[in-house]
Amino acid sequence: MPLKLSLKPGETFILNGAVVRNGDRRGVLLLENQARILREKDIMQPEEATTPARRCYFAIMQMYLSGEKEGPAYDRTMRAMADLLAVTQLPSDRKLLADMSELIAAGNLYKGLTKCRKFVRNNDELKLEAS
Amino acid sequence: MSALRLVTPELVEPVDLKAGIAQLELGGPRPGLTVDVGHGNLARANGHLGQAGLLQRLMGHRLLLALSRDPACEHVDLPKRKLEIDDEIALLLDLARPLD
Repeated sequence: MPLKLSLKPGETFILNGAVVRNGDRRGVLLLENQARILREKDIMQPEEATTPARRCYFAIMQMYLSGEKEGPAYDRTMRAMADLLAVTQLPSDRKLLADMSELIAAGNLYKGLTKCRKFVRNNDELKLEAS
Repeated sequence: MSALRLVTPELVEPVDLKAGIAQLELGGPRPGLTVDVGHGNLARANGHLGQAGLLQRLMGHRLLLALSRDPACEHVDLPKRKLEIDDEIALLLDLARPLD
């Protein structure tokens, strides 16, 4: 079943290492096979990697975009996850990180990234509430 | 006929993390070694580094699991690391910035 992408004018996405930008009208694209795709709203820029959770997301995102599930990219992600664990006290959050590690070890980077995104959003909301 | 049968990952019974690491460390793991890293997530030597890459992932996961269960590894002050970015990824991200 194809993946349907509804794009806003000027919206970008990254598809298998290519940056694609929509024109000046709304558009719809159908992706007929599996590919590494990341939409603009899910792309994190380096200056946005400001917390341990966000740095972890950034590391997994790099793995996903490059398609490299081992080697230096994996080491980098493990360091970011260990740093995140060091500041994570809630048992449920620590369990979530262990689950994320399972997905990454199995090479399922998209699901790992999705799980990490939820973690980042919860973390950001908690920080907002605390401030 | 059975001698001609191809060994595919689907036909290999998954082993657990400990057994997977042991097989890879001893060398000569079973063809199509499949490791259940938890909750049915299966890891295989299908990355660009082959069996060495699989061993790296399994050992990294084992370490992270140990850290996640270690109460001593809670609220540790670590020195802040510099964000590491591949040049190719940095270029992609720069190109993907929203237009003003």
